Amino acid sequence: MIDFKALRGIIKEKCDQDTTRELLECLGVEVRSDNRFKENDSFSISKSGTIKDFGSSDFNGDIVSFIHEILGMELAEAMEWTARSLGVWSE
Amino acid sequence: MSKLPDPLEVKARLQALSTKPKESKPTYDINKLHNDAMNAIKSNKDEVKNQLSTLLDDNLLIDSVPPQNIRIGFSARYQSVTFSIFDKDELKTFIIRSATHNGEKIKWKSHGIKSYIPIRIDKEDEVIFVSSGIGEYLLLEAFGISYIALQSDHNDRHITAETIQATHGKIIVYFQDNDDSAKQLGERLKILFDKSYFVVIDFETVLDCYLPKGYDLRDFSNQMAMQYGKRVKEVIFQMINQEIREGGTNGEF
Repeated sequence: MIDFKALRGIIKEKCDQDTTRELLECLGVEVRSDNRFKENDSFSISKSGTIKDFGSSDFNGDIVSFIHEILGMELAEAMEWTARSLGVWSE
Repeated sequence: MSKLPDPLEVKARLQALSTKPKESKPTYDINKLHNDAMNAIKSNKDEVKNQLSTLLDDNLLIDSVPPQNIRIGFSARYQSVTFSIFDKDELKTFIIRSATHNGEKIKWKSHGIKSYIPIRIDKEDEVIFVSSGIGEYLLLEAFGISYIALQSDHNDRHITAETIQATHGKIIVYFQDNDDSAKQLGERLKILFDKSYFVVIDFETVLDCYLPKGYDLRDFSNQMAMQYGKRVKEVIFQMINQEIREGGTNGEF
């Protein structure tokens, strides 16, 4: 049985600014050198790796929330993909 | 997981990232940058004048108020004009306006406190102008009016309660760049300055035509300067006053 709460904690710990940036790039989101999104620069990645939208959506969350809420994937799917990408997924 | 990329490939990419030596962040001394720029301007006055004229039409600077909080210098490294923004005697931000080698793309390199918001609010002034960008800040300084000059469209969260208090009952005129980010900023400012009469100057409405994305106060002022020459400031303020009377776009008490 997967402990999703514990897994979410591990993901948050692993996803610093550089890692989040790389994951976003893999998802096709281009990020500028100042850590703002190229297409929609109201989005930016904080030093701790969370993503925040200072614009209309007011989104504030980690990469999993971003994939779920902004890209529209299922939460479990977002978790699994992120965990597998980070090498922390175990069946 | 069909819509997401293969996590194995992503994992390999992340592993490569972790083994890549991290570039150490450049360290700089903002006061040294400023002092060097002040020294360099002495032998580059003509170049600075030339670059400033590409930023603002000379007609906009006729009878301009001597800048109190901004000093212009020159970066020998970037061969470019610089701006040092002060809060009284304290240097807050040092900005280099650099162009690519072909001069096509302008970049603003900012050092120091990027969230610092230059403000001048004269108690006697009924109208306070708000804009975003360094070129616009220069204009507001030159016009000698009360202003709140954001360094970027996302700096509004650094506007202090004291500043908001100082605008109560006054007219806030927001010069809105022609892009979505500026429109979103306008919506946030309208909420922030809810105790003021908030007027949005939308240049497409003022000029009654479609404008290129990013068209801003500086573009508008330069365009007006080309059209009206020495009368430019008088014309601009006539147009703004007309917009204030009409409530601008989304004007509300």
